Amino acid sequence: MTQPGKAEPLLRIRDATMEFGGGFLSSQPPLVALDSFSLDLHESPAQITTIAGESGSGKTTLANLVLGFISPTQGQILYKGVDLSRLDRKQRLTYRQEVQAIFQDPYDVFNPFFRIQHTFNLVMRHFALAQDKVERRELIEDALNVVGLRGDEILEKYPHQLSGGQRQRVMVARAYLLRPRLIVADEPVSAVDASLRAMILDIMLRLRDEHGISFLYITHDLSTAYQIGDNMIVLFQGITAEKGDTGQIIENPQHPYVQELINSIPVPDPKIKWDTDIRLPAEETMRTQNAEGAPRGCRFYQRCPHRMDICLESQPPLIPVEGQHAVACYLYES
Amino acid sequence: MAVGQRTPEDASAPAQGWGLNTWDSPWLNFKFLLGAGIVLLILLFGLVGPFFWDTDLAYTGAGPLNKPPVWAEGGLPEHPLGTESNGRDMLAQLILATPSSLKVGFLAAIIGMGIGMALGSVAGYVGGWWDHVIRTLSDSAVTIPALVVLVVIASYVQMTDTTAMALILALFAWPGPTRLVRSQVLTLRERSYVRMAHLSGASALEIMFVEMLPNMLPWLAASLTGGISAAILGATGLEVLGLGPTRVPSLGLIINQATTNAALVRGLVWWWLPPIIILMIIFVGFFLMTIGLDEIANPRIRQFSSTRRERTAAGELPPVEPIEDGTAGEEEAALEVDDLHVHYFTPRGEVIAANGVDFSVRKGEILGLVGESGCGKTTVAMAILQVVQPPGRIVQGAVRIEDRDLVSLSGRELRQVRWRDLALVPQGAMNSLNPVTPIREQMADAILAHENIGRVELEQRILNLLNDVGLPERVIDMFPHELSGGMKQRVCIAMSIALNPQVIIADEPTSALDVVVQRVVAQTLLEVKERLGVSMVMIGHDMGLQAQLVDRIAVMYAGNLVEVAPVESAFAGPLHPYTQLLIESIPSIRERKPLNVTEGLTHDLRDPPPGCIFQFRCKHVERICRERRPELVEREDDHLVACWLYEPERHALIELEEA
Repeated sequence: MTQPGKAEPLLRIRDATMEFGGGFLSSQPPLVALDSFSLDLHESPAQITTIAGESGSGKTTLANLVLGFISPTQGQILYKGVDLSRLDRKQRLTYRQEVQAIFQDPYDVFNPFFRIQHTFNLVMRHFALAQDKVERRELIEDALNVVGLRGDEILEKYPHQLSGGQRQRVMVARAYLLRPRLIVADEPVSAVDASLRAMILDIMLRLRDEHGISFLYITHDLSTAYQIGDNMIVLFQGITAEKGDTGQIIENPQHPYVQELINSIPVPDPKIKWDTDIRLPAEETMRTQNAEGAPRGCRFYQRCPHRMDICLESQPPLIPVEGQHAVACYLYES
Repeated sequence: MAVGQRTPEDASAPAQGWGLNTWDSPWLNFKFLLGAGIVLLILLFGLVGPFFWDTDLAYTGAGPLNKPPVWAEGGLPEHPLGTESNGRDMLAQLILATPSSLKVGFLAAIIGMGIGMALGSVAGYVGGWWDHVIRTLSDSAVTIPALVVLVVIASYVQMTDTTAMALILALFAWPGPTRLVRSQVLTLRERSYVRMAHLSGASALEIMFVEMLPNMLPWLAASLTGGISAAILGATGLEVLGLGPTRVPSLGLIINQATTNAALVRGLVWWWLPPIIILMIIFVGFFLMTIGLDEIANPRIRQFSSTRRERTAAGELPPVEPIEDGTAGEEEAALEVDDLHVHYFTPRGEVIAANGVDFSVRKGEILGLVGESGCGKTTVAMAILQVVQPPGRIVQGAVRIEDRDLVSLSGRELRQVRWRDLALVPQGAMNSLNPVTPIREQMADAILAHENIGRVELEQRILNLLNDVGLPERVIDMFPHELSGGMKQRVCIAMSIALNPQVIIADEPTSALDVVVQRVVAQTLLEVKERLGVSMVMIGHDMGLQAQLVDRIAVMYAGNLVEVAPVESAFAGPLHPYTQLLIESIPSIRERKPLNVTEGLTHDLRDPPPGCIFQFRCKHVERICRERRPELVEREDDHLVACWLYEPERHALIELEEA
């Protein structure tokens, strides 16, 4: 590994673009799932970086890129300064151990054929974490304690015998066991009941604060991101629409799309009803037009209440508005 | 963090999954076991037979010619199944022939399965060019008429023994398993647990054999049993044509000799019929195994067959207890649900999904029915519509619209009520549209099923409906795939109001939609309600959405209603500790507040505790809560709650009971 100098970020994504389909045999243009995405994630202080977006925003593509399930069509993903595609054997093992994941569906992450124990044995064996059985059991017990579980309660059970909250906590414990530097949490609470959601989010906060683990928190739910996130990137159809401090974005959104998104979140108070009527007159044209060919200009043009002529010409670049806060919108071009 | 009290959930629930060692194992499938038993018996006949019967009698000249079986006139006891034209004993021949036919089948199918697993997993897992080549090969191999090619090959190759025969048959036994394994691998590799194993550093081989293979077993086994009978059929076909190995006795060879000796015309039934009977028994055995394994692999097939059983056996089930019509409740109720009990009769006990659920929906209001997954809210919706899926059943209670109890209606009467009086916007409704029919026809079907109106009027009606839900007129000629999720959902809403129903049941009508689209759909529902004055039951788990949409809210926990209140007072002053928990745990976009962490252990729904249903999670639990179930009582204006906290006399009550 190159000099792990102080400025070297833990994870650096440089202009990563991911296209699906297309190719010379296909009559359709490729689908751009993620478009020139850049991100620097530093090891310390550990932070929770939210990647927010709705379906089709490219957030899951990003998770798959960071986890190494797919490689970007263009651009680079560097872990501790080394391109993921150039990791040697040893580096790859380190990367595998240090970048872990929690997935959305706490039912599907367990192989129904095996007891819970299997999940832990798998990582124990491949990363040679323990010398012997006793140490192995201690490490597992320790990891389970972090998420408030006990080994004798769950290890011998089959996945379906656990509640949804228990399953999701086991997955966090499994990730923690590897002492990762970064956990990609792909919608970790969207399939968990409301009253259990807080527990998972709380565990994420404690892993950040007490164990220095960074998170890439991938979600469509801005309100949970608001509760636990440090930084935030909002994606819209593969484009970075807005990035900055979570508080800044939620409390003072700049991009018209982000404003619309935040306004649409139902307020849990019957006294504050949705203010104005929202209309998506071009809802279906917006779809068909995107399928017809690679769109030019701003992706949000069709729905934007502030659209201008310049917006049709090219995708607006990220324009800084205040400190780290940047918006891809020509409204803020000085 | 409290590490949870032990609840019945921990103690109960035997392994239901793939645990092979439990009595609950899905492998204990009647058809599979029966089929396996039959095959085993046939196998035993061939294996044990030589110890009880002299197989040397199977050779030419061992006995008299053309003797019928012992029970027929002229039969001899030393040749119980008779002899044929060469003096060979039939029983001895069958004992020798049966295992050799089975052997060919097993061998060919296992070789085919082995090739199929190797090729299929490479194609599915490695993908790319490998996949292209393997898929093309296996697909085109399937189209080759196997028997014709077999005949050609078999007439060129001199087959000396059954192994050679099996090898030739294996040429046609691999494409099926290859295609099966490929598609299974393609499905499984997307599963989170396979990706998790990848992240755990497991190699491709390990993922294939440890993570994927066990989960394919039922499918592989079904394919194997199917393959064995196909191979036996192929082998027998060749043997009957005289193309098999001639020195080894086989069932096909017996038939071949019978036909070449004109046994059919000469009436030597005992010569050609026994091998056919044995073959049929073998096929029946493997067939039963195959369909049994199919059921094991796809539990839903079993569900369908049990649906039928449930219906035919309906007479044995305890009748639905009629509730005497007290005509109580408010007069303005559009829908009344009265003491509804729904139980699911699972092999491991009765799951009580709705326990005395009692509420009414007033005219022109939206009632929200909320609760977490598994609380029974969808069951209640299905019970209102009288579409509870077996093994679930309404065991008690009534659902009334205009004083008609839907529970007691016949199937035909119900069909009239549904849509016209009571419509449904189902969960994930957008996926319920037929992808190959334009919107016009789908909506016309729904209307014409209940009303007889002319073409022009129909067209106008559909356009009006689309307009009602804020969709442009051209949607009428579009296909579902041309519409976005939100638009499809609005088409479903339009269909639900097509016949001017009094009540619409909306089951999570906006789940799986993006926030902005969700808002559009929710507003559509509100507009429809305002304009048509229809009543709605809005089932959901998103408290924020409920706050925006509903007039009154009914909170369910573990099959019981715990609180029913106007939405304002429910949010401003929730009474039940569970409702309080639900409202506190809504993440806010307005303020950052510390997370409110609670342990979420519930009881086993098959074995509800005495006393309050929420006692294991409640902060305020007292003795009376563990002993007596609180009833839903009006504690504030129009605000009902089932909780002892609001019963001033509760201490006196429990003391009274003790005395």
